[in-house]
Amino acid sequence: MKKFYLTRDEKKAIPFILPGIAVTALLIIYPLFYIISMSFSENAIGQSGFAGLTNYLRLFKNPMFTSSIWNTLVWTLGTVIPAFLIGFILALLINRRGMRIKGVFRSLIFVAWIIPGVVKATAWKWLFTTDGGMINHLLMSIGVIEKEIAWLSSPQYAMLSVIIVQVWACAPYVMLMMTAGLQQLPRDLYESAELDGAGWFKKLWYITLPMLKDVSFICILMLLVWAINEFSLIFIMTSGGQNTTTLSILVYNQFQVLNINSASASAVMQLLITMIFAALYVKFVIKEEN
Amino acid sequence: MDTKKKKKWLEHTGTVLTYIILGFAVIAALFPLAWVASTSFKPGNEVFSNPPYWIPKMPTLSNYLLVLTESSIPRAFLNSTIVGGISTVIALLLGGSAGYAFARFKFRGSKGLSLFMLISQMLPLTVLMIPMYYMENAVGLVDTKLGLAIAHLAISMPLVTWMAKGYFKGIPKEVEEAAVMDGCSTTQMLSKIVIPLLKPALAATGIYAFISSWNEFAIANVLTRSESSRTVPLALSEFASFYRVDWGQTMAAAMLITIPIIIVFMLVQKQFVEGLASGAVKG
Repeated sequence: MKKFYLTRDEKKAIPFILPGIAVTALLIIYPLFYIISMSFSENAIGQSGFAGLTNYLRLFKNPMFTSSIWNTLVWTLGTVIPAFLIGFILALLINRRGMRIKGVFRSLIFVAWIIPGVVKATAWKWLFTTDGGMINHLLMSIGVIEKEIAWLSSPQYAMLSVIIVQVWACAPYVMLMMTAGLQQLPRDLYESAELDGAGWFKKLWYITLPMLKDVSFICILMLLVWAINEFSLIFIMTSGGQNTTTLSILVYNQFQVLNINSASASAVMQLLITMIFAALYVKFVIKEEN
Repeated sequence: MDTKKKKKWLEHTGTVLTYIILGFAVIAALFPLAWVASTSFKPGNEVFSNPPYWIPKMPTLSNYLLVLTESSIPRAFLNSTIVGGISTVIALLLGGSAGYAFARFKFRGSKGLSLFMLISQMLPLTVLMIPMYYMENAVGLVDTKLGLAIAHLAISMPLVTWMAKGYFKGIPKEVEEAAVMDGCSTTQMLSKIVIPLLKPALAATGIYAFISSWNEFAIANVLTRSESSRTVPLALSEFASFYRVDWGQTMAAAMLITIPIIIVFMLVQKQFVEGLASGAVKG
């Protein structure tokens, strides 16, 4: 048997790292094992019985699951793409040459991001109300709509409403990351491009975009992960009603009716989807570190 | 008009347009909060006026007084502070020292473990929620502040470890070696040299961890039942889920929750933004 040994550095590291590992194992690794094993079991807690793929097969046949996947897709694409584009455009505008009070614009817009999530959801729930809600009033007074819309309780508008809120909340994050990225771009590159007669669009296309590739990649991955994981915003605004039941809401609903094995299978599906993007992010970080 | 003049004119118009668009963006970003503030100062009959208007005709503090004296919000503030405090202190101690080990020592599994800390920040809370509930139920921690604080460690530990690792890496190893040469023990070297150097960064990390506990809703929603452990986000969402919501009071409560966060954010804006850029990714 090979003798187990520790290097000098390892001996030093152990007291620092061990408590952290213990807590992480208990609070993250064990729960992950737990939920995966529940997703392959039948019966409730305590009486384990291996069920193979039964829970998953049942889940794939469940129309609630298929519609939650569809809703998650609509929600994710509907929030990530506009949030990224709006945030990016705002960053380009703030970073325009000769702009003053850049910091003021940046900080004020960023307030939308730092408001606690529950306050965001509650404030917008109030903005979207009928019988004198501010959004209905504003849209009616500029003539976009003729009569009040029941934003959160109608199947056509509920998803749109929560998407608007998420875009409003996340675009400032993109703006902030992008302005940070833009400030690091070398000025002389633009100057020599201008000497060569490059216009606004050419500079954007050949210098700015390629050089912001990394930070854009990170922003988009973060937006994707947040969208797939988002729970409280939708839960508070619509409780998952009117076609807004995304995967995370489905997990919660199944858990609430104590359908633990289905809930676990749905949760594992959610985990798998999130982890695809999380893995891409980690891969990127490794590349950066080397 | 010659081309030079035309170009200048174009640039000028562009600048004006940029200011206008950014002005609109600022309004779009802030008007929900402004509407919260406006509603919070309105007496009951004005809150529900149709059409709505921005400036209260008879501004009042009664919503705030009612929230502070007769609602569960003050209790929730206390609970949130305790829960956030416990989880932040533990996360700073354990996550901070783990981060130090990742930054300073070479050991087997170091890379895998530190990447696990990064990826853990992206775990869906709905995935952790179910096992968390049964684990805490088994040991009687459901509906206690301690139980929620422990659960929030699942969020703050990876965050703090990852951020601390970055900060400790930024301190040159020579600084530590010099201290040891001068006869410092490891503990002295850390407490007298390294940690004081990183005070602002570690404070920002702690605030970040505290805010993520303060804002957390999904896990608190399943782990707490009674007023004795419900945190601020839950108290607020309860306000807004009655059949007939008292929006005046709800918005006063929302203001009370948001203002400390905005003040704290302004104080640590610089570190916060750097943290975001360095891969602290919890939203």
